[in-house]
Amino acid sequence: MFTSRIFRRLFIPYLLLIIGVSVVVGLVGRRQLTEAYLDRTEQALAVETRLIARLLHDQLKPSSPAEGWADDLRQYANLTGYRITVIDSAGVVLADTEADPKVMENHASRPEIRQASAAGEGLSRRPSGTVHQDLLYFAHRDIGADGATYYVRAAFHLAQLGDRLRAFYTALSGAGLGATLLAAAVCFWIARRHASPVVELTDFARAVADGDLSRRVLSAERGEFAILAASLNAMANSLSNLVTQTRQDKAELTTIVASISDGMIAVDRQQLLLLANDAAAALLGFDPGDWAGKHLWELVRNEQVLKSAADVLGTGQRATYQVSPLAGKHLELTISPLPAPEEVSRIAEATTSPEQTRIGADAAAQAGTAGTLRRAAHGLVIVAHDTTQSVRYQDLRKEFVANVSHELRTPVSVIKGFVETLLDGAMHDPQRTADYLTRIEKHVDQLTNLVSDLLELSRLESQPGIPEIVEVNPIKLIRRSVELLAPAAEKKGHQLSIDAPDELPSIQGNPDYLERAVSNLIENAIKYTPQNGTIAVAARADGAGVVIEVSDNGLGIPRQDVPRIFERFYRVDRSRSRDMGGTGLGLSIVKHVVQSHGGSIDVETQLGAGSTFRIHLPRQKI
Amino acid sequence: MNRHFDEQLQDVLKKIVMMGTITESMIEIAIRILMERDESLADEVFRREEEVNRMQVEIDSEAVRLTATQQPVAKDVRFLFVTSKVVTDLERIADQAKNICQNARFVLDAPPLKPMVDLPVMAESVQRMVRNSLNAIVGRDCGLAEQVMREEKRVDALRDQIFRTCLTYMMADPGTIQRAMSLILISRNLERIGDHATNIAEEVIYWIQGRDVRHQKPAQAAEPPAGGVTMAR
Repeated sequence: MFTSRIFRRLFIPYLLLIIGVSVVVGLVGRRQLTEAYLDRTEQALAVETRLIARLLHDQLKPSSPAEGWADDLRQYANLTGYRITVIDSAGVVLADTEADPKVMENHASRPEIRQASAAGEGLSRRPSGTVHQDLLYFAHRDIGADGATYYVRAAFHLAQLGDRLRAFYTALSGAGLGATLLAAAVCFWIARRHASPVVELTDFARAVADGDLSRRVLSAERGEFAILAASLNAMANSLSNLVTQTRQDKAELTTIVASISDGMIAVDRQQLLLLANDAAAALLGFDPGDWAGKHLWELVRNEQVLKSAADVLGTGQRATYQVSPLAGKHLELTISPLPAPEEVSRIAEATTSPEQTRIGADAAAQAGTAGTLRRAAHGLVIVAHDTTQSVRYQDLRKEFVANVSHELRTPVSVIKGFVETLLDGAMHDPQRTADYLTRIEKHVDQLTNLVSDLLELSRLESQPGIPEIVEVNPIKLIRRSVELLAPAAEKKGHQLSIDAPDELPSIQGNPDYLERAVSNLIENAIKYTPQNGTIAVAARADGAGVVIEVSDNGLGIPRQDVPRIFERFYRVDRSRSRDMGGTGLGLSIVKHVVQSHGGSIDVETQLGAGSTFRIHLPRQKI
Repeated sequence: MNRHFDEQLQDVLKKIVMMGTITESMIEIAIRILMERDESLADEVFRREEEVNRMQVEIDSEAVRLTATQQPVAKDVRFLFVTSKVVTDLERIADQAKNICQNARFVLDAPPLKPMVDLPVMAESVQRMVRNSLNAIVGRDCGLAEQVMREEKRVDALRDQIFRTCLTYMMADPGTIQRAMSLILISRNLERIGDHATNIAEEVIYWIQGRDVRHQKPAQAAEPPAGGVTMAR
């Protein structure tokens, strides 16, 4: 309270004013009173001196002092309390009530006597030469009974007056002090009454400014302050609501931005980051927790990104850039200029007030075009989209088309070569004709295989499900495949064996597809195992399904090729594979069949020691 | 006025980083040419080399202009002087990257001499040095700069190793001399890039701490050579 400025401003001046008034009044009063008292005393002294002179008039004979009247004189002195002196015209003291006249000096030169000799009466205030006290003298000239002139002088001890005045002063200052204290107390109360609401409101305003929005003014006073307090409370309420709303909105926005899978960065004109989500940090390769207050060029050290950002800042036009390998990723960056804040508010206004939509939209359009024409972007929003996957798919598709063309052209050109040779005259030689036609047949077979594999693959890919699902006995399935391929295995001297229990749970699926898958694996094993190898086909129950394994002791697959062998036309060794009559589609088909049955395939292989392909088929597609 | 000056310094720093980023990408492309045996990328490197040259002149004259007109003090003076040196180093790095491309031509003309093992490791190490020296500038990070200076010994060791390997090839078969020599030159180019990165790191320390760490004995650095094989020279 005492630290409050307004309290001090009210209280201290009033207090000073009151003290000042009291002091002035006291001083003036004291002066006036002293003078009035002195006047009064002088008058009384004059009157009484005249009376005493009158009383002494008849018996006083200055020539014969102290004869009888000296006693009277003493009596008068006792009655009045004055010191009375009788002096003759020459100034010789005839009698005195307080001193021995014989030792007293001549009084003719005393001011009151001189005045009296001139004007008949004289008044003087001075210390007495005889009694050494402050005295008030009054002298009266009279003609004595013997006709001689003499003076009656009465003196009043001012000390008596002083005592009385002092008592009076004490009372006066006491009263004054009391009144001052009382006034100060009242003043204090008034000051506090006026200051306390202001102090409270100030505290409240400060608390609100510091962010304590839950604070309210509690003052229950009536009048202007109550109205003010109520308005401030209302203001605090709406402010608090607004802040809560803004916080919610911001949290929502942040959550939305954070959960976008695309990277998003907003920067200002100086390329200082305003916002960045984790995806952006991951895609552009910076620390997601350490971007605040940094520039784009401090965080993203990629020439293409930085140049594109600088371009858009310069032109103010939205643009899309393809940024190739950035930490092994392909990105598509869409960089949009950020309008200046005032334009944003104008656009926001235009979209929020329906009655002004048209005009507002015009304004916004104007602002937009003018903005892009007039000056460069105020900032940027960079959206980074990870296109690695789609770039890879595109590459795969291009590769596939190239592969198909190549695979088709090879046998066709071989066939064309033989046909041309035959037409050029070789057909007249039966021996060569037979030889060429055999070779042509071989290549036509290969073409047929290729086309049928391609058709099958495209059918598998285009169909979402499996047609004609029946119960399939896996043992029968394996047996049929092995029987079908036994001649081929025998031809290369392979040992083809089946290792399966008598009973296995049946699985649901298309028997033709599944047989094709198993056959493909066995066929591959036969192809890629050198003469006199061992090929084992095994089946066993596993959990809720069946595992079929085809293992060989053949060439094996180099480690770096393993992830790609299920791709179409992927060959570990191109030249050799085609000689063996493969189409390059076999494992692709196996993978598709297994996946469409809800199963999985994996491979274990060691270069030069053989491979094991393992198909896991569930009892039922989930 | 002062604020304006700060912004101008910031702008210089930004340009250095941009130049460094381009230089970094040049090294990367040069190495890719070697590894992927794709010579078509060389034009990219040559184009960038010209851009780096242009930027060097631009940044250098900007540093001179600021020194002359703004009367910088203490750290700012050091920054402007360091700027001149750093852009020179970056320009030399870009030159070395160009040289790698030129040497790579001879390596790619003939079938691979041997599977490249040491060179990719060395290239990676050198690239990291350049990146870290630039990061040290951006982050005013002396610790990172010291790390760069330590890595230099590793790069030197790798260069010696490549030299010895290539020497055995050349002794065994004179037909490999051109390829082996080119590989030796490339390893030397990489090692030079590492030296320039180390210079940049030293300049960063001078800028931030005002202490000169050039030409100090390894004993003072109190750091044994990290990794690789050392060889008496």
